[in-house]
Amino acid sequence: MGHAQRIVYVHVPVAWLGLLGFLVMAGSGVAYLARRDLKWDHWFQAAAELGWMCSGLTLVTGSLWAHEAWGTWWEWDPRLTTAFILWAVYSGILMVRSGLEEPHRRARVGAVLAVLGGLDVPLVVMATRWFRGLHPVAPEMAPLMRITLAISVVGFSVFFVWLAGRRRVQLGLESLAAEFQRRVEG
Amino acid sequence: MGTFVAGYLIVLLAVVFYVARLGRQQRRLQKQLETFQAAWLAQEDQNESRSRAA
Repeated sequence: MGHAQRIVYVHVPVAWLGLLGFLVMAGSGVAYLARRDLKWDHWFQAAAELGWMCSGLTLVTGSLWAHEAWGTWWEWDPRLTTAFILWAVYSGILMVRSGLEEPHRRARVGAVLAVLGGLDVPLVVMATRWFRGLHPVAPEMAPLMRITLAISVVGFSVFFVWLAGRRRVQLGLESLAAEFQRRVEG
Repeated sequence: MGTFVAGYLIVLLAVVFYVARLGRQQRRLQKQLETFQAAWLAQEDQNESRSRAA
């Protein structure tokens, strides 16, 4: 594999964040449905945007690795297929939400879709164990590689959680500005 | 070598684009808030002059 194996240090963190983003999104959706408070929808949107990006990056970096390891850019392997479905669900949710103007309707529809789409998350995680495929299950790694990967996962996680927090604050301010404008114009 | 560099660059570019988008939205929001503030101050001035005239 040579240098190409180093892709694992970005592939694993973005894959983890893609899954975490979906869990945060579905959790925020459930919290919104229970409380009807739009602050949960701001978490939802922030997690959806970053999760979508990480999920897409998982497919791209995975494809680069596959080209080196398997000699092909793509295989309809169970892990790859379920990961692609996750990205497609993310894309669908973001597209549907962008077409809805009324904030509570947008939050409600997004929450229901995220809860239904969340059923794919355990499939992505367990795909390599439940079904036979090409994707490695838990490859053996030298201790130094394991430490490097752990540092990378923690670093990516801290940075993306910080980004999500910033985006959530921004969405909250945008919502306040829109509300103010509605009152002034109304 | 090229494959892993390409992978790292793609991830880096995606993050840079996202952060740049956040920055653009932040500047737009700031302009919007400044417009609101100016409109609010103008309204206050108007109310004050009206009350003085009365």
